[in-house]
Amino acid sequence: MPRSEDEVGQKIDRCFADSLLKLTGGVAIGIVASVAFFKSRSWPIWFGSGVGLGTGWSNCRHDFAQPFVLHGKKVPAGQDSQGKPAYNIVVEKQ
Amino acid sequence: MLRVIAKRTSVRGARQQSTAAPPPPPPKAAPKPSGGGGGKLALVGITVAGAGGVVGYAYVDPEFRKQVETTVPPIKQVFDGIIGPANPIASKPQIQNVSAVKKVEKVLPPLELAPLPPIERKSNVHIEPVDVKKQSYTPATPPSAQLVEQKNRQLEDRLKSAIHSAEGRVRAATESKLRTINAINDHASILKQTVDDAKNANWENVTSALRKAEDEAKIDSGFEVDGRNYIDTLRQIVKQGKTDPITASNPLLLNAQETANKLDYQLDEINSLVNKSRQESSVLNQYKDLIEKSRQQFALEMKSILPNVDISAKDKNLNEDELNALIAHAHLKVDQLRRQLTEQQVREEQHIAQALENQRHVDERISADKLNLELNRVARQREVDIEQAVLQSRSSWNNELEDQLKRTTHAHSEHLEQVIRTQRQLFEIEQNQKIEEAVGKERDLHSAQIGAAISRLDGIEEVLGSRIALDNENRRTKQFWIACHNLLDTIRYGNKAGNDIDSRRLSLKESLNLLKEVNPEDEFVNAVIASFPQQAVTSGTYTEQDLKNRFEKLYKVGRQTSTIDENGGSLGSYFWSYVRSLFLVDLPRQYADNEPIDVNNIGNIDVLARARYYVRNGDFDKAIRIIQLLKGQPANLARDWVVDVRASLESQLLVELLVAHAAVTSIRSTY
Repeated sequence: MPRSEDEVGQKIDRCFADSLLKLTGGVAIGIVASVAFFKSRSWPIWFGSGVGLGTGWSNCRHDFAQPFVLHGKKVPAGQDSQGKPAYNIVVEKQ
Repeated sequence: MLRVIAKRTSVRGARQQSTAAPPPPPPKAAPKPSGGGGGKLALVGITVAGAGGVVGYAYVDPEFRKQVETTVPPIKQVFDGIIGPANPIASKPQIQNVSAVKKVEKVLPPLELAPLPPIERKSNVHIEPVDVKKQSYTPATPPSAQLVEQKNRQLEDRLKSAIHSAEGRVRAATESKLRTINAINDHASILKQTVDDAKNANWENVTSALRKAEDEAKIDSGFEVDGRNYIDTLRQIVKQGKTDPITASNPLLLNAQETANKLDYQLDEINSLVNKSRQESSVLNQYKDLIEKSRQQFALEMKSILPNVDISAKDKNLNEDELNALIAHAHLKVDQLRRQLTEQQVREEQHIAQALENQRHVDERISADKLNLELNRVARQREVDIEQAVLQSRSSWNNELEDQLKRTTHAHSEHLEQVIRTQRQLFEIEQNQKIEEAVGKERDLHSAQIGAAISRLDGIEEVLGSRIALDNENRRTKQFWIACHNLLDTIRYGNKAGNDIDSRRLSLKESLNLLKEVNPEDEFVNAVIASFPQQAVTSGTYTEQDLKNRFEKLYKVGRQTSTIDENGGSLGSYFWSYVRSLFLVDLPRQYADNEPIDVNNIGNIDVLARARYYVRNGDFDKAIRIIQLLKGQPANLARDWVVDVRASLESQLLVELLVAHAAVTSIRSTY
């Protein structure tokens, strides 16, 4: 369980990780679009990376602006009475 | 003394003899046949008288009879015939008669047995306490048996030697006396022979015999004196023995006395024999004198008739005238002699009477001597007998007295025993009472003492028990104290082997359970343990150093986010706060404890700096208080740290409480 003084660090870590993921996704979409639709032009790659970077930035800004948001995980826990899968939310931090 | 008396009597007898001898008028002519007849008569008379006397005395005194019989054995038959057989028992009453007749002052008066006072039997009530122990009076120390025996033996030896020597001397004296008697008899016979046979008389023999007799007499007197001296010494020894109380009862003394008496008597007897023979010899001397005188007269007559004629001249022839004259004279003489004879015959009876008288005198004297002797002997014998009787009666008296004494002592001892027994019983009763009283008293005292002792013992036991309990308590509290310190260490330093911050946390649960087990009944401890923070109990507290490290991080992050609102901020504000923190100078400062703080206007940077100061000084308490003043994002950041530090501090405080409690209990239980 993270300690309170580490919260800021964790947030920054999460930001970077998320941003990198978004950036990578954008670059990948850009490359595919450029190859498929835009005759290997380069700008769809830059666009895709910009979108990804922007998404990461936005996520990060929200994270920092709402300090009391709880981050958790959805853990499947069997099925409910209608046969739908049931989930438990495991909170990362109390 | 007896000897002296005997001697004196003998001397007196001799003197009497010598004085009495002359009285018979000297006969003009020696009447030989008449003189011889008188002598025989006297001899016969003396003999008869002597025999009669002996027999009579033997009748009276059996001792004497026995003595005579032993000296002359054949006389026993004579005695038996005349006075009947010897009656040895007859001597006793004789002695008693004699002692009764002769009252001698020397002898102790017959001891009368004074009747002992009747032993009073006192009744037991009047018993007076008698100290029994003190009665052991010591009798006059009797001479030791050894000494008595030694003395007796000495005395016996002396007596024996004295008796032996005295007997020897007396025997010698007797022998010499007998020789003297023989010599006197020889002299008498030779004298008679010589006188009778005047013609070829040899007077040398007479003188030699006389000299011999005198010599013998001298010798025998010497022997006699010797013998008497020895008897005297024997008597002296006996006397000494008698005076000595130790040897006075020696039976040999009486025997020695008797022997001395016997020997004395023997000497006296032999003396009397000597005297007798002397007397006889003196008679012969008279006879000789008479014959001598008649011869001289005859010679004178012859001379007066024939003055010129020497009668002794034998070769001369007498003439007729002379013969005639002689014949005439002879006629005249014959005539005269015849007349004288007739006259003599007439006076013969007178002479005989006189001679008888003389003889009687002599006999009387002799018998008186003898009687004296016998009397002396008897007296001595009697003394001896008396002594014996005295001894006997004394011994019997002693026996009787001893018997009486024994009876008395027996009665006395019985009485004493009874007294003692009664006293003892009384004493025992008293003693028992006393003992019972004393025992009761003692028992009371004892029970009181025992009660006191038991209560004291109870107290001691109680104290000891409490002491033991205290000891246990003390030991437990010490252990508890140690455990508390251990817990404190755990809180402060955690698991020292841990590699990261979380593994260094050590759960207090185990230690607290141990403490609970150690002090299950201590409410205080239980309460304290129950009030431990849950986090600390389950997962433990952070160590001090970890908390400090965490604070350093908090400080850093706090400074970087010091301007962020508590509801967060934009990325730019975070970035700006970070940039701002880069330009802040972090100067180490000293803060006073009592420095006033303006709570409303204090900035996060200042709060963090103060908190850092306190944390670095180990004062988490103040650091927490200061940290509470944080605002915005840093307050959020510091939330966990504050919680953890508080838990740690709480735990520390509680453990310190437990430690204090343990110390106090230890001190309380210390004696």
